[in-house]
Amino acid sequence: MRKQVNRALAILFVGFICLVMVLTLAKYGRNYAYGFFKSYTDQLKTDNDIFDRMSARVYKLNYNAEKRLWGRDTLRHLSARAQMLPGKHLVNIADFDMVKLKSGGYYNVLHGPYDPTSANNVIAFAQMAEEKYGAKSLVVYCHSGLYEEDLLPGETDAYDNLDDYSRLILEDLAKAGLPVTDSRDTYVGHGLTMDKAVNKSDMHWTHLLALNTACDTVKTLNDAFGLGLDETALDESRFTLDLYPKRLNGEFARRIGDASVDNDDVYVLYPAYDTHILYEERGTPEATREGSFRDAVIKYENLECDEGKDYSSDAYYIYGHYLAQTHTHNDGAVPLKVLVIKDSFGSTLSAFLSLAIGDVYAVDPRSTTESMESILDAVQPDILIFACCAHTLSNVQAEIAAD
Amino acid sequence: MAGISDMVFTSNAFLFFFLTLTLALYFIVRKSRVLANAVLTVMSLLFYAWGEPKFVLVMMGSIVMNWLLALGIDKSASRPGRKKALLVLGVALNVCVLAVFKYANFAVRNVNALFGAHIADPKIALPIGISFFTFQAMSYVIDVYRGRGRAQKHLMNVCLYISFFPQLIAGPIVRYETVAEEITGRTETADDFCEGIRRFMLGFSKKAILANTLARLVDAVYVLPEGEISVTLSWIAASAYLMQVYYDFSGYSDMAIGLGRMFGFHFLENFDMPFVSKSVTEFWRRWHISMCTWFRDYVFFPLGGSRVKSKWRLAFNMLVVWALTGLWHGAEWTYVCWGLLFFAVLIAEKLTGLGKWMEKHAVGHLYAMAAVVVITVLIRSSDISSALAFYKTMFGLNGAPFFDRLTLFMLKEYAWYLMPAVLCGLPVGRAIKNRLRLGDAAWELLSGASLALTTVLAVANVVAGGYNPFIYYNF
Repeated sequence: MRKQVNRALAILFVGFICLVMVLTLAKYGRNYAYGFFKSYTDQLKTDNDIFDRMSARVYKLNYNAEKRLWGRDTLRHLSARAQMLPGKHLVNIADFDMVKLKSGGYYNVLHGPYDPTSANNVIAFAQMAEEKYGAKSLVVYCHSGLYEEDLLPGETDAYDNLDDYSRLILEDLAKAGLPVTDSRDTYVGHGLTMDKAVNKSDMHWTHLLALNTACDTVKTLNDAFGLGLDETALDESRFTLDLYPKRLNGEFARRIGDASVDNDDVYVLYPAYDTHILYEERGTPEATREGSFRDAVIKYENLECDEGKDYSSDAYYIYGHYLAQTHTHNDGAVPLKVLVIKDSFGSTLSAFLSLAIGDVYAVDPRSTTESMESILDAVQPDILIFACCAHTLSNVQAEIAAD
Repeated sequence: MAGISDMVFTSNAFLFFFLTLTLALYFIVRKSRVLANAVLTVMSLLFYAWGEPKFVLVMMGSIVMNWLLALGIDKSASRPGRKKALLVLGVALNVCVLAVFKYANFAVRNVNALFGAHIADPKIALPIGISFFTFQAMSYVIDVYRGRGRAQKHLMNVCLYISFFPQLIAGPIVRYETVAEEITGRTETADDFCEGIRRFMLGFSKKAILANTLARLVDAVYVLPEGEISVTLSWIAASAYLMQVYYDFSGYSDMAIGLGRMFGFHFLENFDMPFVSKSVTEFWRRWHISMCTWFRDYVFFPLGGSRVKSKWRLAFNMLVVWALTGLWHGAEWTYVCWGLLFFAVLIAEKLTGLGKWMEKHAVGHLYAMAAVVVITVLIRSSDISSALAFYKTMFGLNGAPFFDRLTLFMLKEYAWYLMPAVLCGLPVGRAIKNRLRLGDAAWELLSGASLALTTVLAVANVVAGGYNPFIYYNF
């Protein structure tokens, strides 16, 4: 009987892996080929050798194998369901532990002690920017998920360290004299609620909270450095708000299945007043657009529903993607060069800042092969802004420290 | 460049592309032994290059060197002096390869620390799996010298033996004498192939479900500062780490043995239910058997083994073996101390008769597991001081609470993985079969169905991109 069982197992196993390979190549073969033959170069530094080029191609193949696999979503959802079955709170998908909050949304848990190196690297980079270019620095802390008390289930609060991490890093930054805009203050100050400030199906803040935090950031810049930026340019009351109900089904939902979490409303905000912006995007692909804020900056294509669905998975990214390096130029704003070192939270923030600042350069250190120092040299900013959530703050600092 | 990952068995790239392609190519050409071996060799080199292409050159250099040395030894059959000199040269050169690529950084750091020197850190990157392939290379030269296998005339065959991808980066260490005949004269059968698939599925499930989940628990505890870990949690984490290593390592061994069998190779077992051990001596008879027998046959026996006149000499022989065992695992003092602690316990068991006494009494289980759990803390710790801090917590010497909310949370979160991890490490299968009074056929159906289910979950975990640490980077 063992032989028969073994044969059945072998047929099922080999049949399955062959099926996945064939269907994956049929569906995504072009992506694999494009990565291997073309876009692998975005992983290369300028002084590369044959081994670096081989590694870059391997990286692209690995990347595609991780991201573009036939049946991937079904298997991810199965993994999540299996993990939750025995009553586990932590669900480990895509290298994150997430939990379902009492509010119904999901949240990436932050575990582990605060490491002061994170703050020290920001401070050192800020000092270097000031010494070299006289650039002043500011930190925008983008809090994720936990804007109210007692949201974590069970004893998860004993495991999660977001509040302590935030408190300690902000204390260290304040001690070094770096001004900080904290999105939690914005949340309270602008009278927001969880429903309006935080997505349930996605780890990001809503565009509404991002806009109000950008508004507070401009106020902080004026208070700290006397820049005379137009604070009213980011006043919510001067914006048109288009509501796309239940349009976002974000990353959390992609991990565990779209039926497991409610879709989020998407607020598309753009100035009701006249604007003219030049928007440039570097990377793959490159893009340049010019026109009103609405036409130049907002990527309406990300609002389009996924095939066969009544929601979009990418609706958060209408103001920019975390991979992009962007530059916006606004003739109508105070002529000032600002470099924003940011994560995906900071992408949205940077887009709104373009309404009050002449030139905004935004870069995600996790996705560029250029060093932060070389970007600093190229931009020579008047102001440097670090805009990240706690989860990526330490990674961003590691990239900066590596320089 | 960040983010490049080696090709591990529990990855999409390996499972859905590399393995599928290798199987297809191999079975297309398998009737020609030369072509079949060429396919395995090329795919093995590709497998190794996947992580860091440069290091293929290191491995190829080692392969060519050992191929030439073995040919020289083979041709010197009538000149024992020359034959022995070539053996000594071969061993010395292999040790040099290890010394340069694995131990140079460690040596420089220690010379600087000891003598206040300022020698620049050579910063030599560690080629993955270097300890495994160097030991296999040494085994080739020594076994040819001892006449336990023929020297391979064709470089490709040596290349296949040393670089064969199933055992390349995480073992088991396959002795040349074990597979010498199979390199050129193996037979692939459908039964072997299917048994190999079954074994691969078992190893894949062990690694992707148990080892990776336990790793999550362990890493979450070890990242915490000393004062934030309760006594209970420290013991849970230390025990979970031992189980993580077991399921990771034995899972890899299962996958390697299974993959080998698919291609007609029969590797020896590497683990034999180590958690049933009643003494530390017995534990090491059951744990990482390929490494232990390698050290036994190539180091311990040549030193005189245990058939020596004085106890001091026996202790010396064991000390050498365990110091080398520690260093083999990693060029850090934590690994050296780990090896020396095991030496201390093993020599104590041998000289006092404690080991034999424990093996006759049930308390031996508790003793052996407690000793191994405590000693294994060393190799999970980043340095000796971290290990000492962790020991303080384990033994309640730093005022840590006995139990707290975090401990409760971790227990609730991981109980469903800790319990199966304990049970699967024990011979419960037979007990279940007997208790349920199942016949062989019913048992095979039940175990086959269970394996299919766990493999689906394991594949789902891997595709989901969950936690998937690779713990052999130091090896």
